[in-house]
Amino acid sequence: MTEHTTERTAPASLELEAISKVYGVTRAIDEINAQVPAGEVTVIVGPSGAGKTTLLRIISGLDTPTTGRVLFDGSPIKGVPDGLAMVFQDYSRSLFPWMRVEDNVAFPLRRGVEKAERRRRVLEALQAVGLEGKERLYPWQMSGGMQQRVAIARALACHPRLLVMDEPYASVDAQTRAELEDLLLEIQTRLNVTVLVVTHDIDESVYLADNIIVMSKAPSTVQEVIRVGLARPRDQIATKEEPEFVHARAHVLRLLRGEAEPEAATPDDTLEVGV
Amino acid sequence: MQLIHEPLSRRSEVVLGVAGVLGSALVLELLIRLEIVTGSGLPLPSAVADQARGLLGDVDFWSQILYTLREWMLGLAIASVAGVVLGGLMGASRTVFKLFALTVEILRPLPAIAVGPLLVLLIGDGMLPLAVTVAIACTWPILFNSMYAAKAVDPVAIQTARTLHVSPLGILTRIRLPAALPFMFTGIRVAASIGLIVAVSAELLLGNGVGIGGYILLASTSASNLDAVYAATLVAGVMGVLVSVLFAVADRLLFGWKAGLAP
Amino acid sequence: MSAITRDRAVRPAPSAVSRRIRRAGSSAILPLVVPALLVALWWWGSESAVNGLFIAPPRDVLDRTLSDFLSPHPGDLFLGEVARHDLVPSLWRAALGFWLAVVVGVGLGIVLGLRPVLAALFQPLVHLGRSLPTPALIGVFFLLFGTGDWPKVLLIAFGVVWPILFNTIDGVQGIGTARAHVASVFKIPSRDVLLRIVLPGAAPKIFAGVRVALSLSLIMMVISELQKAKNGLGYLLVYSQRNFDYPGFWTVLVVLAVVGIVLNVIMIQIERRVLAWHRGVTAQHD
Repeated sequence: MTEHTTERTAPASLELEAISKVYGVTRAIDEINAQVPAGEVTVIVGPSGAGKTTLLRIISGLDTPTTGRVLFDGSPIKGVPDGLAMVFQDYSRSLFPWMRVEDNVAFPLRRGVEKAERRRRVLEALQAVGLEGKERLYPWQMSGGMQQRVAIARALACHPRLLVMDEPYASVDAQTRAELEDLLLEIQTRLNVTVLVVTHDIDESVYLADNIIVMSKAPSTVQEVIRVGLARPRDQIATKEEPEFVHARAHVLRLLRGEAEPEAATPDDTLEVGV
Repeated sequence: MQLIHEPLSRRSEVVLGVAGVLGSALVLELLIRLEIVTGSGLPLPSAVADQARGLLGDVDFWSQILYTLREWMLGLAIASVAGVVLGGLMGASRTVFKLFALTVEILRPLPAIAVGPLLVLLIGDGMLPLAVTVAIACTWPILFNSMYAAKAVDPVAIQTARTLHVSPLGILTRIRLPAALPFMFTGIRVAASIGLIVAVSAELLLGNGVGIGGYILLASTSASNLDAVYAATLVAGVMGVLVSVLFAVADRLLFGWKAGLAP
Repeated sequence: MSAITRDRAVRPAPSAVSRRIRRAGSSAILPLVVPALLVALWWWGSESAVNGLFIAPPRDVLDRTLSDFLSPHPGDLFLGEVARHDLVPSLWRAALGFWLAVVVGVGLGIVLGLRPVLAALFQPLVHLGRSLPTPALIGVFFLLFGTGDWPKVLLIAFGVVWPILFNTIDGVQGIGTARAHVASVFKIPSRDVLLRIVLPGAAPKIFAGVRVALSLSLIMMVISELQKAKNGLGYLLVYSQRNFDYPGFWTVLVVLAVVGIVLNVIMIQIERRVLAWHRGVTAQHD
């Protein structure tokens, strides 16, 4: 049972042991072994249809693997682990249009957190994502980027030890995307939480990650795990000019392109794969 | 605990649906046979099914079915013309909308069935008053959908056509009408289901023993013949289901492209 | 539309003002033109030699409606004798049947909507129920449930429950996996999932069904009173016609229309309050 404790606890680690998933006769995930170290940002990147979403559902306990297991802080998960919070890709569906922003953020806290504390946490979470004063609005009165901030605030208000994000910025424009990337890194450092992000954007994966898990097409395996040593805080312009960033981006792209059809990989789409 | 579940496959839905119908009939049969539920006039599924089989082998009953169908089609045709023309004009022009909106709001809540007796007095006996009763009930959904239909066209599509030098007539026939048709058809589809119910009800209340409703009316007069009432009602209900299935299939075949537009 | 904006930009201000005044005047008069024509047609029909017999003059019908259905006495809540004897019992039965249908339809619809297996089992029966000509069962209902108010109330409920049931199932199933995942990940308790996700999420569809049911319940109300009734608007329709009391007959039609309009307005007001968020969402997508 989650007792949403007021005290922040240590970030959680995650281990994937020989995970596979078979739907009927289709093998979506072949075998995945990977580590998500505590207190770091790990990014899973792979082409469309690489079973990223399936893998994420297994990690978050929404689905069970055909074989293998997920260890959350060393113990195998049964259902959604306590201390895990999630930000979904589609904010228009994951937020509730009939609730104001404050009610959306407070919604997961209704059990086990008393009213005054709930209120405090909602304001704190909204402040963390830069939405002070917006608590009385409805989500549909806000821009897409602001709605996704609300979704992040909702996850933060739970004081998670592991924050899972499924293509969180796929539905917002480029400018907002950059802002939200910086916001995520800033929050991660300040709150000391483990973050796992799934994306198909290679730039984003390198910019955010301490570790990148590069997946292959279905049936998916892990092609390589790349350690990114870029200094924090990162900067949208300066960091992206560093040789290590350029090198890592090229390396990830080569890994992904090795799997792609030769004619699909024109020189023009060097930045995104499998949109 | 999980409250919301993923949808089932189409095949298991069909299998379960058949099982549900047979199972419910079996439960009802047992409840009545074992006298767990007692009372006169309860529908024993086996007896009703028997009677329905008998009805479907009866030439006379088939002529009643055909009468109801003809009456229904006539009513639906009248309603389609009236609804599409008036609704289309109301959707296309602010002035026409203002002219008729209040009138529509006043007349719409009037139960068509209640106007029926008056129609019999004014038009006389026969199929026409029944068909007009059906038409009154069917006009509203067609009218409202046609009204939305006239506004349905995407302004960007029209601007695109203008930049491609399509003539005003071309814009009407190649862009406005194709955009409007699916909505009009939705209205007719909704009206078709309502119309069949109204047709049988009108025969029951105004008719002189014609149509399925007339048959039910005659059967109701003797308490011993209740299975015939149930059977004829069931046949009418199944006809309604068939009609809505046919219209749904036609909708998918004719306007399948609009599914791509759904949000 | 574009013609108007172009106009406005070119013409000087005074003419725009006068046009606005003219437009306001026409928008007040225009809606009344067709009803006035219809009343004129009605009057003309009542004067005609052939059909005049069956068409009571509008003036008589108005007088009769006022005298039958309204009363100057506050003790009677300003309701005339006919209103108390027929309108009130009719509306009471319709309200009871309607509420029964809402409770059963929404309750059962949520249960079926949340369980795909149950929904699949009963889907064909729900479709059949929607397509049944319920008035055909009026005789059976009298036999099954006696002769008082109950068979009428139950017939109304049985006749109008289907659109509510169908739409509730549809609405609940349409809530979608994304929201189900949110509920699972954040471990929302079942009670909150039901009251704060499922019910509000399905509300737009439920309301659509309830609106259909409301207008249907007026029809079923009239039909349930055509046989074996001692009062009610449906009874009055039959009774006045049998006694060649055509003004009385037309009066009932007028009252039925008024009742329908009032119920519709009430429904729209309720919807506006409950579904304010939904209008916001759809307006944003337009």
